[in-house]
Amino acid sequence: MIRYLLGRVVGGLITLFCVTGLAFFATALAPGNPAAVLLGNMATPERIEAITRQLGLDQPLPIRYGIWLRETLLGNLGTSNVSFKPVADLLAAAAFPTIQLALTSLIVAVVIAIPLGLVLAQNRNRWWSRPASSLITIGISVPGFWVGLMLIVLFSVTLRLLPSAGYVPPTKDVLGNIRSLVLPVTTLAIYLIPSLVRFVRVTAISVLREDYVDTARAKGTAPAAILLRHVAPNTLVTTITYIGLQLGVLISGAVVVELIFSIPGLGRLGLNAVLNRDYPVVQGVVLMAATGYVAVNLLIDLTYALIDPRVRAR
Amino acid sequence: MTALLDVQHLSVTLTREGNAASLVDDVSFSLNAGEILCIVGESGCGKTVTARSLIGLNRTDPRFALTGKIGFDGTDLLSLDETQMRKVRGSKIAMIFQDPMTSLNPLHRIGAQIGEVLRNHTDLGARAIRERTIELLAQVGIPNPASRVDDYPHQFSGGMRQRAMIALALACSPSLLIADEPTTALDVTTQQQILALIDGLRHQYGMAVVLITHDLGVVAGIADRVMVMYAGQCVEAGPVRDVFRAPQHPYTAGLLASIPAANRIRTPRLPSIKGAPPVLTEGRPRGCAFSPRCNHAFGACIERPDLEGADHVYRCWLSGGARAHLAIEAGRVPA
Repeated sequence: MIRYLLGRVVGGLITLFCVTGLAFFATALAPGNPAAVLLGNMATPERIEAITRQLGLDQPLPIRYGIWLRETLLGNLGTSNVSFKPVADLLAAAAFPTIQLALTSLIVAVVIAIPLGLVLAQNRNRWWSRPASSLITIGISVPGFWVGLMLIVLFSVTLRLLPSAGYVPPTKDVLGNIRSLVLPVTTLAIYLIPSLVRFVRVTAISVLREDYVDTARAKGTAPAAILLRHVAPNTLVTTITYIGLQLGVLISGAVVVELIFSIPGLGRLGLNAVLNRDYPVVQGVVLMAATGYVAVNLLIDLTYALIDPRVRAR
Repeated sequence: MTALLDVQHLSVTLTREGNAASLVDDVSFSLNAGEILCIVGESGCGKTVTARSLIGLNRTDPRFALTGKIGFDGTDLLSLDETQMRKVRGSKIAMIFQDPMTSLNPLHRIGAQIGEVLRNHTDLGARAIRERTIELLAQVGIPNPASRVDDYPHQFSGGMRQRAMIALALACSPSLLIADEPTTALDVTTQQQILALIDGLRHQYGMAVVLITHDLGVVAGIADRVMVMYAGQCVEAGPVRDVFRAPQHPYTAGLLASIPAANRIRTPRLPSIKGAPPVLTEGRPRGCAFSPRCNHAFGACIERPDLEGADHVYRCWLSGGARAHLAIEAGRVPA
């Protein structure tokens, strides 16, 4: 068990190293010079060269990555090339809205999708099962940003019930915070739910064909109890892994939703940093997203061991 | 004495994508308390479907249609609704399955899975359920049952899992146990132990057993009665001694001839039945379903034969003289 977890942690660290390295070289490959962006209209070749040297961008790429890696390991993420604020501060300010948005959406999606998928699987032979599944397929094909825009049109523009944009921190106004998140969370959850429902449904259908479900029926257990006691936990084992893999979708979905609803989160921070060639901030955002991804998947491995005794035995 | 189980004209039809296939076709048999009936036949002949119909595992699936009568302890099980049937399952009729590796839920402790039956059908409290579970595990020969009760299935070997499944089936002292090839997935020495266990427990509990197998050696060793199925029909049924000594259907004779056994009359090669059984979902052959593979087929076989006989029944057009010759063909009597 300990060895199993240790293996996962080491694997996670290797993943972080690879992802940040890849991001570092990929952003450097993109055309555009940060010094030129910074100077804008005042750019002359001499000034650009001076700033480039000042930012340390005249060094070869591997050396720059080495420096970044050393500084990061020492806890220093550097300062923004644009605002000259410490990257750590920028990340700290942007992280909370994103985490709140992503986590709430994920919880909402899971709470809705898992029971829905189980019920659809249980009733797979009923007449309404097929149309319901088709509806889900349609749901998968609808782009997330379109749903967001439609929600804004309906609830903000026409009904004037909810704000169309902006983010109110919970420290300032709890109710305002909730109101500002209703539409973004709904958008992101609607984006996540269909594929999750489909996955749960397919998995639960295959679990329902397992021999131990026959055993449970031969015991005289009621269908609802079979679903809850035998099918749901076995479905969950695979579904949790799937949710972990879907985190990338969640993160990219959050970026889009943040842009639509003008939420000052990591997505917006990262996108602006890419457009400005603000390398330290790009690296910071990538590191943050990758760490989140690795951490959550580690947590999932732990949960996995909690549910499945066979994993614990390893 | 009225029979415990009295199946009359049971037919099971599977409808899939508009095609109806008759998986079990007009099967009748009866079984007294404490008796073992073996159902034998090749894969896909309807043995398992028949067994699952008895306990009603396929009745809620809208693709299956069941007709006929399954008389059990005086009531027709097919006339019960699902809620009433659920009270029978696990308490009066229990079932164990072919593969003990997959028939236990991997996420629950052995004890909890056995306890579930008791929770469904008795008013016992948690402590009483645990005590009864440990007692059951001891009865089926699990060593250290008091600690093993908290194990998970993956900590049990295949043979032990099947023992746990038997304990689960016995929990409410059912009067009928259905065992669908309970030893097929086990190694040979374990097979013998499990069969001996089932045989011992049926005497102890006085329960009837429907045992599905394709091992005729098992039938000879354990069964009181045997039913041979072919293409969804009962082609021959009767007391084991009668059927084995004087098979009345060429298919039974063919099966008997193909047992590799020491007391068999030796031939240079082990005889086998030519061809393969029909796939029932692709439509049933006209007349006698076995005739394309039968060495004795003649003109009459175009028509479907009925079950003949009283206690020892058979479904064949051959004359008495020709049928008497089948025992020689089966290698039971020297030619």
